[in-house]
Amino acid sequence: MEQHAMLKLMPSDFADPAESSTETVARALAALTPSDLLRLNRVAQLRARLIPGLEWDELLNEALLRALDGSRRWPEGVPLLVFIAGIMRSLVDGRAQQRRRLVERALAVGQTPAAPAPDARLHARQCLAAIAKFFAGDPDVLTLIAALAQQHLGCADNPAPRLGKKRREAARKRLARAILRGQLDGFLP
Amino acid sequence: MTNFRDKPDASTRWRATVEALEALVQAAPEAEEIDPAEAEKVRRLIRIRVVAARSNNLPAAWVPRCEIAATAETVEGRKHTPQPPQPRPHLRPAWRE
Repeated sequence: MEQHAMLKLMPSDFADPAESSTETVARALAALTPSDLLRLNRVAQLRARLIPGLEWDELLNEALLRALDGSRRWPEGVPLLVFIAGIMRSLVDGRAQQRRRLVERALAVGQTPAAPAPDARLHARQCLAAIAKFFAGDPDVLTLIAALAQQHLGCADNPAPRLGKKRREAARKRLARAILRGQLDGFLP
Repeated sequence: MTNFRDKPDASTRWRATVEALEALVQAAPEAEEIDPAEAEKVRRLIRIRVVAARSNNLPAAWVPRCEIAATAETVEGRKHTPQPPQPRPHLRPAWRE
């Protein structure tokens, strides 16, 4: 797969031994192109959808704060987008855990199974249904999404090979275009 | 939408879907059509954060700009008000052959 230019932005491209990590990250952020910024926006929008009510700009803002104040170090060899996306992932995970704990505490005293908050589960179901509806006319894209998600879950049964290389690549392009244009985000609850 | 063999719950499936879509966005080639307003919104957010981070990282000895301006004004004002005679600065002796 073609690698985006942003993925090549590494700490060593910006680091000066005499400057702080704030300056290194600040200079890397300043070098982002409009295309990179849009990509960052979409990643934040997707990630924020894991927590009902969380706004993407709030999440990105928090991630930038951690990257710039040095509380999260930008490791050598990690591209900038991956670094920022990783911070957003851990922020969302932290918030999800916090929500679970609150629900557990409210539900019962004693043993309560660690399960996502009911509204989070409902929200997840609604988001999955919205994607299915959005791509209802494009079964190849739906198969691809299922295959990619199964890869992340470590499932052995991967439906993607059934599509064939050409159809899989075409579906991948259509899916990426829908996300980058913001069409999918507008459709999600 | 998805046919998972061991039927994980909706939250787990949604999370895996987000991970997958995010990876796709990160690896996708250059975006063809970019809404400048959207890119600018992110740029503005970054700018605000960078300015805030830089101001928090100033060494303690640095004086804020407004304070420097205030000092300059005081010095300017002092030039116009009569000042008591100041002791002459100590001059270094000139070199003599």
